[in-house]
Amino acid sequence: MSSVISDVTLEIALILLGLGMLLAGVRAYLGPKITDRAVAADLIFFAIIGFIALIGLRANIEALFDIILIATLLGFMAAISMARLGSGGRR
Amino acid sequence: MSTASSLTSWPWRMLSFLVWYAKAFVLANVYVTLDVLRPKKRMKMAPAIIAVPAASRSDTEWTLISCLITLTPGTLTLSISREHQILYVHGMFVDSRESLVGEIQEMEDRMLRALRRSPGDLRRPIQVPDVEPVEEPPGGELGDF
Amino acid sequence: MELYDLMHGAGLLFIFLGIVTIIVAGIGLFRLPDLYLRASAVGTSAGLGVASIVIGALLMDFSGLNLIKAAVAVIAQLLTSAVGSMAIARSGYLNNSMPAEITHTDDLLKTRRDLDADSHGEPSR
Repeated sequence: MSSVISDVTLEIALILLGLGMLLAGVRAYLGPKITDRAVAADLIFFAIIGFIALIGLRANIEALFDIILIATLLGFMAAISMARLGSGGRR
Repeated sequence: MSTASSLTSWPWRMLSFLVWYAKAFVLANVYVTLDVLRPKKRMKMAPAIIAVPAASRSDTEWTLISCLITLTPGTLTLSISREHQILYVHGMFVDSRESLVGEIQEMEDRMLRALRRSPGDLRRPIQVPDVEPVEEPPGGELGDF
Repeated sequence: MELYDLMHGAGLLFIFLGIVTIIVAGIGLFRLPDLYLRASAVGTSAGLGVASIVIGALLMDFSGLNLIKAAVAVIAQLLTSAVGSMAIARSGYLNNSMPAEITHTDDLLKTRRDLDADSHGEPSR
């Protein structure tokens, strides 16, 4: 019984997370400068971490926390390389 | 004797700093979230970029204080100048220059007391020196990454 | 069984807290006028949002090994997101993203070299 309820709530959570991702996607599309897009892409990445966590819980993935650990470390690389792209190599 | 006692008190000092920081972190999150959701006319935002004199000395202290400032939502380290001992901080709710400077310096004081064996040299430059633009970018700014 | 339900509910609560933080940051991307304020708003979801989603997932799928992995993931996320948003904000400043009108003090403006440089031109190395 309780697992049915939590399955439905997880699906609602996925939809809400998709909404947040959509907002960030529109900003990434509109963003006047590349750094605005970089900030929006950062937010999309955090939403992706949320997606991974929710889908992992839903599908009972064994290695869920390893995936989350690697995902958090990869987001750093994306942010740094987009910052580098925005400043044209200057520091 | 004094070094031994400061060594044994280190975990406690660190823990109490972490608890203080966690509280400040959650409060800053609440402030920023509320201000984003507030109607435009009643927004309390008063952003500013302020030069904050800092007391940090070593690489570790500079890195940690700028990370901690950025991690707190609402404040953001834009640049540091090690030779002038200045942190350039972008704040979201800056009523006056003194309020942000006091906030950052309180955090730095607490961090240095938790990090160092003895508080040591907590002096800061009294007044902000006039930083002139230079032709070559100074290598010390924001480390070398 | 009782404890299991309790942890399940608390986990869902944390996950929804994180999702609300991410949505608020998404709204903030539209309501706030310049890059630095937007970076501050995204900072809430980088710290509290991701951390509470990971903690919620941990509560819903608890084990000792998962506790260690989640703790390392949260600490890594906090440190790297701080460095990442610092790098983005700095590159925005180098890329002539000027602060919005309501910014009342700008001490960093005095130190700029290329005030009249074209922001869309080739970056001077």
